[in-house]
Amino acid sequence: MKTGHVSMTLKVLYAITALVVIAGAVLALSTPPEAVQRTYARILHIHVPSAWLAFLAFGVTAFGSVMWRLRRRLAWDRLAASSAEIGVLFTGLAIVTGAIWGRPVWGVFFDWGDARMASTAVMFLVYLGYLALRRYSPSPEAAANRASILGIVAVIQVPLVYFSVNLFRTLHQTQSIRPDGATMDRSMVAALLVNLAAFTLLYVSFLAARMIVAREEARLVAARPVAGAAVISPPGLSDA
Amino acid sequence: MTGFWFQARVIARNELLVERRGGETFSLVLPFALAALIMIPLAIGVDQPTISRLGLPAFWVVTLLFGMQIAWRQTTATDHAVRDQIRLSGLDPAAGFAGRAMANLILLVGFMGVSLVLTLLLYTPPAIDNWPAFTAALVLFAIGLSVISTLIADLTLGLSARAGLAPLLVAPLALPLLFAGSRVAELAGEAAISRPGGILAWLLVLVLVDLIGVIAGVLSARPLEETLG
Repeated sequence: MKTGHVSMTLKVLYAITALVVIAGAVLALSTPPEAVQRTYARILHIHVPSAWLAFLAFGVTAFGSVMWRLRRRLAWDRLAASSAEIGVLFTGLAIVTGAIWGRPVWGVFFDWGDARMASTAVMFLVYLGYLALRRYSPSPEAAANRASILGIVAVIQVPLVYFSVNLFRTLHQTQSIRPDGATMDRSMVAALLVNLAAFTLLYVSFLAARMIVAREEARLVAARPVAGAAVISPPGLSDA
Repeated sequence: MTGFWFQARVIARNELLVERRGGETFSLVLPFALAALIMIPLAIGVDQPTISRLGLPAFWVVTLLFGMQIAWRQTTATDHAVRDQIRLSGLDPAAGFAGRAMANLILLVGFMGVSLVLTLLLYTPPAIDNWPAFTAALVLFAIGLSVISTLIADLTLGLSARAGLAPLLVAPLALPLLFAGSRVAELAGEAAISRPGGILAWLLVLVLVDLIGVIAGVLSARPLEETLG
């Protein structure tokens, strides 16, 4: 792929993503209002997929980190870093949409006594730290080396956040879609599943675009002239 | 050098000897933490019931924010030459991590002891009836914080922004410790003495975080050594 040129595959991906996102939005807005929460319940079509994507993104970060440690190819590190950025974005979106929904339904934007909310906020902060660690590392290799360890360790939070509603029975409800059936109306489940697919495609599209940008950034950094680069060490000292 | 625990003890002893000479923990970090404990009631004013209620939460927060600084004090073996020497001696990186974490733990326990006494004197918090549970929470909190701080201290070694970056990484990772520790303290009070099940659940959270920290620290010790070169 040439610089600045978007391949046909990516164009098709972006087009399909746009179509599925529109379909998800239409379904989310056309489902009947929930019996108790009325129209506030529609926010779950953004909130739940955002949370799901955060888990997926951080899982991919851990996978990219493991692969970097095994193969030492910067492409794996770019995958980890790009996925973490998107994960932080979607975690933030999940927290914000949860707060918008929580205020009218629970009476509070954020409840620190709730295990799901508190653990999600912690996960958000840890991955902000992950991104900061990358930013302040002196070179791409150093960033990859250090961040890969944190990327692998931090993924432990994903199952903890997911199962926090089962481990601690606090304010946040348990999973709405379970192996033994859903706790929602069938039309709402269908809309939610379409939105899950839409957000997953959105994640893949963002990831592909961000990895292209990251690769171009790496090329630019490598091509940037360095002060003193023209200085050649005397013969016999170069291998010292 | 032979034996994992022997190596860990040697490193811990060395760290503590160097710290005794430098005295950073008890002459810099601790006084600053105590200043914070004194400033909180001054900011609240003369409302004694509020001060009393905020005593133990203030203790946990101050311990977390200042206690983590023990792990990246200047007297730790952060110099590259020192680390090269340790590596050339054939030390197991995991034992090195364990030794540094043990030294940090010992310093942190001392730090927490002094901070707790001052908290009890300054704030007069509600009486604690279940002292065994509270003591267990203190020890588990100290283990977790020392392990996490040591791991992050190693991870950020040599970075120019370390002073700001390390607390940013440790604080969220240590939040479950703060959360569980403060809940145990709350439940250990006389009003909640009849709920031992709740205390046990939060103590288990502390144990879980400690275990995750120890496993992560030991497993990442060798990759980190390769990383830092």
